[in-house]
Amino acid sequence: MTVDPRLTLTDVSVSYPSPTGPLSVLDGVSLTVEPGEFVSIIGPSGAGKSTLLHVVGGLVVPQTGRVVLDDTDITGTAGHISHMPQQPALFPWRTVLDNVLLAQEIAGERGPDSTDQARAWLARIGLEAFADSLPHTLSGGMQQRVAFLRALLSPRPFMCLDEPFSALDALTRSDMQRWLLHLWEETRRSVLFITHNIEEALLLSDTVYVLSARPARVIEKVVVPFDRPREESVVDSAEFVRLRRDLTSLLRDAGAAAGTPRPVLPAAALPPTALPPAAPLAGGTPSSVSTPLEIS
Amino acid sequence: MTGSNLAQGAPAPAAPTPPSPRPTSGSSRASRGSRPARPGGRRLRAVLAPALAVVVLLAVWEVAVRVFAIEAWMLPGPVAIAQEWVDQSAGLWDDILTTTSLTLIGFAAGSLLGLAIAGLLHHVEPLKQALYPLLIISQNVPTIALAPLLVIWFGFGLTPKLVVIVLVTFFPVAVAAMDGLRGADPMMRDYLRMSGATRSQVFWKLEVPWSLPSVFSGLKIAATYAVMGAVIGEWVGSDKGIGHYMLLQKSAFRADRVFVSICIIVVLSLTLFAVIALVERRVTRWRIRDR
Repeated sequence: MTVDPRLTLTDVSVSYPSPTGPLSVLDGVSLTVEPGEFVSIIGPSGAGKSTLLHVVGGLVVPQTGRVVLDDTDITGTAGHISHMPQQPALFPWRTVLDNVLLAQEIAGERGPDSTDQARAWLARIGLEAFADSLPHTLSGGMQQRVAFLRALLSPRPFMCLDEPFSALDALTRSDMQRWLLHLWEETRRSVLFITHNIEEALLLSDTVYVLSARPARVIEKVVVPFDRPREESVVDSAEFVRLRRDLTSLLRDAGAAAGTPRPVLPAAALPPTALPPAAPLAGGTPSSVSTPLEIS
Repeated sequence: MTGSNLAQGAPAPAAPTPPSPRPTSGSSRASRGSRPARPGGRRLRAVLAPALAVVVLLAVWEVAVRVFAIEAWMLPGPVAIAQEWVDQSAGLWDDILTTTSLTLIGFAAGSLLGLAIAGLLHHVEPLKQALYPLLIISQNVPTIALAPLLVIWFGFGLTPKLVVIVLVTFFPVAVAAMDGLRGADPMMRDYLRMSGATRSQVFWKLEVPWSLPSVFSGLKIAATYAVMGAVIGEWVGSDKGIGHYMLLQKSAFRADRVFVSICIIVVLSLTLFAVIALVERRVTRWRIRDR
């Protein structure tokens, strides 16, 4: 496998035309994904996380800013990343195996040993019995595993995961987070992970970027201090609880600003340097830690 | 046969098609949704109930004809028609073969034209905007009025009849295919585009397979139209075929034989419909079980 790429976004701004003038969605977003780093982006709903992903994927051309993968400027061009969408988006007429190999097929790089490799991977994630089944016979969690494998086996090493677990029930979601944690630690790919689930971001990531409400800016960059390989019990540590509480109140403030009737108030009046003091009532006792927290 | 409907250029299909005469993705989805979820009792009832209705209807017809002593040249009873069908069948094979092959050739040509038009207009949006209204207008030209003109232009050979069939079949196929191509899942489309798929890869790997259920809805409707197109073509200018036989018997006031030809047309329509439904089940097997 090739050396993992570095992704850099520099001052990316996107606005859409609307009847009342241009609607700013992204406002000068800069971030970096180092080679082999797992980076999460969290932000309130409607903050423009999906737009950000579309910029990276080349479907949206930003008004300003650049997207650079290693030394190549990929701004506005598609086909440089592998992608796992919100819904599995498996092709219902293709077998699981053919779905897994779709990204290679598109790139024209489906070779003679592709099938063996895909079967070996399906065995590794416990789905070898379904290789020749159609996707509708699989459960939601299994379909997401196939979608992840499709991204993993793509010839494009940089992976973008767009809220991949948001449609799953809480229990399946928690299973999938742990599954992804272990699988990623074995492969260590460069990953950009979009989510609105704070615990998920902290559990999986090396770095978390917090976006404000629309227009989205980076209001915080958190370097997650936990070691690799990461134990699942990390969610019970005091440090995890503190980070979770801080991020919760940060996101709550950003979300509350988004809830005001008009965007007169800048959503992110917060300095991007320090976490604001946590609200006294926010957070909770460690016993409530395992409850999935979602900002919506 | 419902001649008045044919004259309006909006033929009512003889075979059971969705209630809407034009295939839309909405109606095809509804018809899939109403398919019985489990085989067994419900499927049996789905066959038995309409069969029983037909038997009752035929019985009432037969009794009415006998009780009111209606003359046979006006309205023969089902038993008399069946008897006549058996008597006539030996001499009818030639006509049946003629009409069947005419139908099949016309249906194939019309469907291919419909698919080609859909593929072209799907790729060239301005062309679609320019031509779509014309396509709809073409469907409001009464076929029965057009047929004599076609005979003037193309003579009494195969061509004018084929043109009639192509004109009535290409439209449902083209509309259904365009709807299906356009309706492909946006998330799957985004996935392909982000993965760097070309326009043609999106078309062949996503849009075409996605459109198949819709295309088959269109084909089933087109199949029943094709049979009627063939009969209309034969009415206007032919010396053989079921349509020609029908006209001869009408002139002879042989109502029973007109009914025999109607029965043959219905059987032909239903057979074609069933064959397409069978192919559909095989080709879109991924669609049969609800996802």
